Amino acid sequence: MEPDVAIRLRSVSLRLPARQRRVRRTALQDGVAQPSLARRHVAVLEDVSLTIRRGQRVGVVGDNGAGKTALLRVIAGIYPPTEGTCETAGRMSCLFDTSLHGYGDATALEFVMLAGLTRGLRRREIDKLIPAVYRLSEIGRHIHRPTRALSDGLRTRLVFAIAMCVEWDVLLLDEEIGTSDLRFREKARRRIQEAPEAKTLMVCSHDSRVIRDFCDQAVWIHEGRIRASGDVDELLAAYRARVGVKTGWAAAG
Amino acid sequence: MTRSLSAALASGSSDIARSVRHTALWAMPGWFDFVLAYRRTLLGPFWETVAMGVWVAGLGVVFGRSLGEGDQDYFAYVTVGVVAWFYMSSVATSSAELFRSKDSMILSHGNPLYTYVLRHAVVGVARLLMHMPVLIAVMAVEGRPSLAQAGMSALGLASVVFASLWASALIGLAGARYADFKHMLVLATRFLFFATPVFWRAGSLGDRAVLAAANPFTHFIDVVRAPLLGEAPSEIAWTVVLATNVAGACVALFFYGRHHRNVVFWL
Repeated sequence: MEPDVAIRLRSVSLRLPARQRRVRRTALQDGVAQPSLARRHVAVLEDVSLTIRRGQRVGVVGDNGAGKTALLRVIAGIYPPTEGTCETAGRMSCLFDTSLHGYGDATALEFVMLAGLTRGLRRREIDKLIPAVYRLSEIGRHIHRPTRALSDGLRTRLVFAIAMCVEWDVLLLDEEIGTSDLRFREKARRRIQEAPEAKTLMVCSHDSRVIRDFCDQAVWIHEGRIRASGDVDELLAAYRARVGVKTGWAAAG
Repeated sequence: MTRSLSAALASGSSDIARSVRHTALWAMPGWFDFVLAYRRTLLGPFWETVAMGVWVAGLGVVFGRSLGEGDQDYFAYVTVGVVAWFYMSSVATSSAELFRSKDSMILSHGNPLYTYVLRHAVVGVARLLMHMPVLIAVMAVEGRPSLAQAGMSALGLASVVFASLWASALIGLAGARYADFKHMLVLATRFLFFATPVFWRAGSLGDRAVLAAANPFTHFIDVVRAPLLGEAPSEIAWTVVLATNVAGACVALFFYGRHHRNVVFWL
C-alpha cells in the first residue's frame, strides 16, 4: 500500500448469516415474498472498493441497514470480508456504541482505565489518557460515580472522549457523536480540526450537520454498495434529494 | 483437507499467540470482571469463600454420617472434591456465555478473540483462589500434607486449569453458535455432580465402579485430591488427565482455528 493511503478496500463483499427459519416464517406471516432473505446468508456489502488517503475526513451516509456500520467494522478488522481485501495503515481508534460493556458498576475513572486496557494501552499511556479524557469530556466530579448512574449525554461524552484521546492515525466513529450536546460537539470538531493533517477520520451519521462539521469528503452507501462519493455538500444534496422525494426529510437539517 | 487443517491450525495458533502476548488485554480486565461482580456487596469477593465454606460444611454434615462413616478423611475428601468440581463446573457453564456476554466489546474492538478466553480464565482462577482459604483451613485441621504432597496436588490443579483453557474456547464457540448449548451444559453438569465421586467414593459403587472410572472428571479430581489425602494418584488418573489435555487441546485448536473468525457473525 502506498505511504499516503490510510484505508484501501478492494472488491470487499460481506455476507452475514441469516436466521433462516425465523426469516422464512416472518416473511410468510407478512405475506412478503423475499426469496433473498430465505437464503443462508444476507449480503451486507457487495463489491465495495474504496481508497481513503491519509488526512482525509470522510463521512458515510446511507439509510438504516445500508451497510455503514458493517463497512466500518470491516475497516476496524472486526468483520473479516467474505471476499476482497481490506488494508489499513496506522493505529486505529473506534467508537461503535456507547454501551458500558458490562462495566456499569465501575466508576467512570475505572471505565477509562479499562477502555485503555481493552485498546491495548500500557500503564504509562493510560496515565496520560485519564487526564485527557477528563478534560475533553468535562465529566468533573462524576468521574468517581458508577458509569450506570451517568446520564446518556455524559456517557456519550465519556466514550467519545476515550476514542478521541487514545493515540490514533485512523478514527472510526459510528453515529454516536450526533447524540451529544452542541457545546461538546463543537469541542470535538475543533479537536479533530486541530489534529495533525495526516490523521484520518471516518464518521457514519444520519445527521447532515455532523457530516458537514467533521468531514470534507463523503461516501453514500446504498444496499451494501457505494452509490456515490465525493464532495460533502454535493453528496449530501443528492442524498437528501433522494430521501426527500420519499419522506419529505429534505426540508430538515 | 490437509491444507484446510494446516490453515485452521495456523489461524488459531496466531490468534492465541497474539492474545497471550498482549497481557494488558486480559490480565487486569479479567481481574476487574471478577471484582466488579461483587461491587456494592459487604463481603466483596469473600462471598466466594463463605459460599464454599457453607457448601463444604453442608455436604460434610449431611453426607458425613451415611457416606463417610468410619472414614477419617471424609471431610478433607469432600472439601478438595468440591473445590475442584466447583472450579470445573463453573468454568464450563460460564464458558457457554463467554463470547455472548462480551458481544458489544467484541463488536467494537478488533482484538484477538482468545483474549476473552484468557479473561474468563482469570475470573475462574480468581474464584478458585477465593476458595483456597476453606481448603487450607480444612487441611490444617484434618491432616497436614507434606510440601511434596501439596506440590503434587498443585501440579494436578495446574492440569485442571490448563484443561479449562482449551475447554472454555470450545464451549465458548459452541455457546456462541447454538443458544441451546448453555442449557444443555447446565443440565449435564447437574447430572455429573452426582455421577462424579465428589462427595462419595468410587469404591462404594462396587461392581459399577467402572462408571466412575469412565468419567474423566473422576481423574481430574483425583490428581488434585489424592496427594492431599496422603495417597498417590493412580497412574491411570494421570494418564487420563494428560491424554485428555493433549487430545482436547488439539481438537480445540482445530475447531478454534476454523471457527474463531465466525464468532462475530454469531453474536
